[in-house]
Amino acid sequence: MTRLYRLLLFAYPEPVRQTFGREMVELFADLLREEKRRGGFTAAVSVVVRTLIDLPFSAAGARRERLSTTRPGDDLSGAYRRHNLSAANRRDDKSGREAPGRSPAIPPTAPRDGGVRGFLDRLAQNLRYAVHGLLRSPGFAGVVVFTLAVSIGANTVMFTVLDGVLLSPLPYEQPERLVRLYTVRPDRPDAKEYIPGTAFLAYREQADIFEGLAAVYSYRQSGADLTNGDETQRIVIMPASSGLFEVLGVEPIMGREFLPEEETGDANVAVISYGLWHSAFAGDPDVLGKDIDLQGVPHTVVGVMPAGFRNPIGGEVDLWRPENLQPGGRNNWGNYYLSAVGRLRDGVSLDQARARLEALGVSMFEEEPRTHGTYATIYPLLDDTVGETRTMLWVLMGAVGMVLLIACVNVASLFLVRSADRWKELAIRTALGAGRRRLVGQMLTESLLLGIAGGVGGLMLSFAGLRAVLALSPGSFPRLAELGIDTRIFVFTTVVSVLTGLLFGMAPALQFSRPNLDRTLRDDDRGNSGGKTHRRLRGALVVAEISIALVLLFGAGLLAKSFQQLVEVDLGVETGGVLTYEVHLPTSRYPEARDRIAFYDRYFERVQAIAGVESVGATSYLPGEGRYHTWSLGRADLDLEDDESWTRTDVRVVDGDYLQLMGMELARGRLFDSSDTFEVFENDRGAVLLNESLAERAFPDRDPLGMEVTFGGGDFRIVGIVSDTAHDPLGATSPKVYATHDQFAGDRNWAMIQTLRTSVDPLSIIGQLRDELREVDPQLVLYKIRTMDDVVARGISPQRFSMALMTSFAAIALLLAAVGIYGVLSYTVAQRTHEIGIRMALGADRSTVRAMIMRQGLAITGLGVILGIAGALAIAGWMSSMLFEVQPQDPAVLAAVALALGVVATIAGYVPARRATSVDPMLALRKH
Amino acid sequence: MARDKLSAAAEGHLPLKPTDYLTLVALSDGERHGYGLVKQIETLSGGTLRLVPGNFYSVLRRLMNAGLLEESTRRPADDLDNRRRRYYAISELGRAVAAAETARLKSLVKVAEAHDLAGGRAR
Repeated sequence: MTRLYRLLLFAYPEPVRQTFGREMVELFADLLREEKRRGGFTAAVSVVVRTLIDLPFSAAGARRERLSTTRPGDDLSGAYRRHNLSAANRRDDKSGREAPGRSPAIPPTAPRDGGVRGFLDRLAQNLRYAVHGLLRSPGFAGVVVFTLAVSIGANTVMFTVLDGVLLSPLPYEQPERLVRLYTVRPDRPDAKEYIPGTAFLAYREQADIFEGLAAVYSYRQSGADLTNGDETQRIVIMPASSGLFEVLGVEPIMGREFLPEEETGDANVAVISYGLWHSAFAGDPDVLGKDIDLQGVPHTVVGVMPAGFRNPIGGEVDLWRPENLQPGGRNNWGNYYLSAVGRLRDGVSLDQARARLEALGVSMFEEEPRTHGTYATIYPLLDDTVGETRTMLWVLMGAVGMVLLIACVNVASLFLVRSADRWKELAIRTALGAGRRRLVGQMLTESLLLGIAGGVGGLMLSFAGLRAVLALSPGSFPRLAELGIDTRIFVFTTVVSVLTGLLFGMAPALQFSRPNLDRTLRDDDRGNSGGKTHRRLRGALVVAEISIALVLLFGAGLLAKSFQQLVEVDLGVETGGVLTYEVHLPTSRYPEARDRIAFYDRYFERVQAIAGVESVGATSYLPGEGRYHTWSLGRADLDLEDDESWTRTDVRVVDGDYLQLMGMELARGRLFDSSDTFEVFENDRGAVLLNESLAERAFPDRDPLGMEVTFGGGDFRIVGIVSDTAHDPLGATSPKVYATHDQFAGDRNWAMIQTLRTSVDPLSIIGQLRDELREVDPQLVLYKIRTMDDVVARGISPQRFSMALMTSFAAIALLLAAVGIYGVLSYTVAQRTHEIGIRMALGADRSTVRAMIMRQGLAITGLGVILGIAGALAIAGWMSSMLFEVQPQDPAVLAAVALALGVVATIAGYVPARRATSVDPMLALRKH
Repeated sequence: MARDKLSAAAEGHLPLKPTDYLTLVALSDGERHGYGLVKQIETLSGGTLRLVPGNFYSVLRRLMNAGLLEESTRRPADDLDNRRRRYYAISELGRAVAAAETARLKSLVKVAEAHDLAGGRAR
């Protein structure tokens, strides 16, 4: 706020700024602080408002003052002299005490000379008139400024988001040539799969398509412990191929990126992010060549990426290490796991590249049947990054554009009303000799003044709004964190709204080119309202406002209903009171399965002992966060050579009381117990639980209990069936098999996510959790602490985001429409005071008069609602992709918003109608 | 003689705008910095005159140009604030002007009282 004020000081002339600038800013800050302390937010706002109103006034004064002091030879009027010359000087000039300084209260009407000074004089005078005029009708000024500020603010914020997320190119060189590769099957060209390592190597050879192609193992992007001296830090690492940064066109600020010969799996080198360089190495300029400890394995730092470099796929990354791309191992034709990003060769279009890749797939299939005819396809990287949010942001932008439209309509109608009000004033001033230019100039000043006030208010709202949007939006929203206010759109919306005001504000002044003064001055109210055309125009504007507001309300209603459905989706888990966090065991110190099992045993015992903890468990992956570890599970009772014996299923490794504490139900059999030990798995078979989906899919023919299955190279016996849990917020479920960490810990060092159910606020025991962890192993880090409620909420946060924004826009629209109706009816009442007086004098009772006014309001509202419904139904289809289990033409929502709008409009109309009946007939008649 | 000259000069400034008058009165019992002065004026006016930086410094400039107040070189000892604030003090002329304005207002009030206008009963 203070910074803004400092900017506004440029309205004052240079010497004043030099002498008093700093002090003025300090005083402003002091006042703001003091008022806020004493009277809270509203008091502080009052300081801001008073300061802004005063600004053009005192600035113009100061400039005039300055002109007169710098040109002492001029013939100065007494007013200026009094302000600027010392008393002693003046006494020498003029004789004695004849009140030489007495000045008229208002500066002289006509400018005394032309040129700069004359212009400034006129400007100052116009400003003064405008400010006085506006202060005389604070309602008008307030509503105009409010309308402008809200629409400018909302548009600026929304466009900033849209531009930042959708329109601005990615922060890479020639981003339009960057594409992401997916594998697709000929029969399902829309199902995008990751890319097998073998296929990636083949695609990378296609120099006629790609200038460069690189891959990251984003599927695996994962945490790792970085040990630097005594400190262990949890960081995000991303395995990458050579050439990744070159493809993106970003060079490391130090060192180099990976070389093709480092894609072997045993090259322990690392490129670190700018952030990690500073957090772990304090920006050490000699970091290249240093060894760092990653999960107990020493790695040599070979490169540092610049600040602001954004990893293209898979979120923020602290460290990249080379991925093993040697054929064999996980690089086989059946393992789809890489994400590839390529730079198209200059001049190669998307379609050409797609066609060539498809042809390549065909020829590869001839040589290698294990491709199963799959081929690669490409999508622009930007589309891929922004993905689903595109429609949502455009719809929201459309919504906010409608807010701007309503705002313009409102401003137009307000100015029309005001100009009609001032008809007589203008006529009088014309009669007194004010020229047309003069009147136009004054109107212009007034409109501009309102525009500036609205713009300043809009700017303040934009800052607040953007902060709110950032707070509201989850990290999952791509690229949102990089935003700043967009000045272009701020200027655009401000200019549009101010021009609207100007256009409608000037109309009356222009009409005075051939004024019928005599008639206007003599005539009564009927004459000066601008007649029927004016009134019709105002009515039409309000009808438009109402119909647009209805469309917005309908959109908001649909999103709200959709969101409600989402929240009510049964995910198959009880999220309340569940805390999740992660602890990772470095393989160097926990090399064996038994070490890790022992650790969890000891740690769980301690956590269980914390007061308020009801049960403790862990899982390799949480529900609601997508599919992960999708493996194939084979039935041992069938021929394992046959593909039909295998079912794709998500593998989950769990520990402790995880299943119970998540509220999963045991349908049949038993849960894991202390008999499921590592020894039993080693010597015989492990125990697994299937969820109901998997049981149905893999064993359609018989009861799976007691049956033997195999996956991940291990043999298991099915001991129980548990209920399904959703893997996404829409409630989708997938086949899942649960193994216990006590038995399956040898497969890999599982990154277990800890879960606990508490009887107290889950976040209140984090300190104790840390203490207990330190007791067991002081080097471990507890991180990514979230409640399960947050985990689920994060899944639907884009929907929450769009609903919240749409609802705010609709609320603004409703408010503005209400103001519009109120304005028009108030005006009608004021215009018809005389008529109402006569009616009442002739015996019309209050309810008749009230009904008369209300009828006009209802006619406008009704027409607006009908048009609005038509409009809403016409464009609702655009929103269908944003809706969950709601039809875009949902009649209940439509009826509800039409009703709501009707009620608000009626209330807005009732106030002026009531005022009409309080007219004292005698007074109304006598007035004329 | 000097005194006469001063009061003669003071007459030339009358009448004062209420804000100017209150500003001079607010400074009559010692120098103040900008914020203190704004607050004092607010207090003296019973909360009705709440200045913001723009109009406040206009008043200040006007009064300084007219020689009614000046920047103070002295800082009160009890000011623990270590910001380098500027202090303003009433000048000799300013004091004379304030006194003359007070006398002028007093005589006006007497006239009003003689016509039974004082005390709010305006009928």
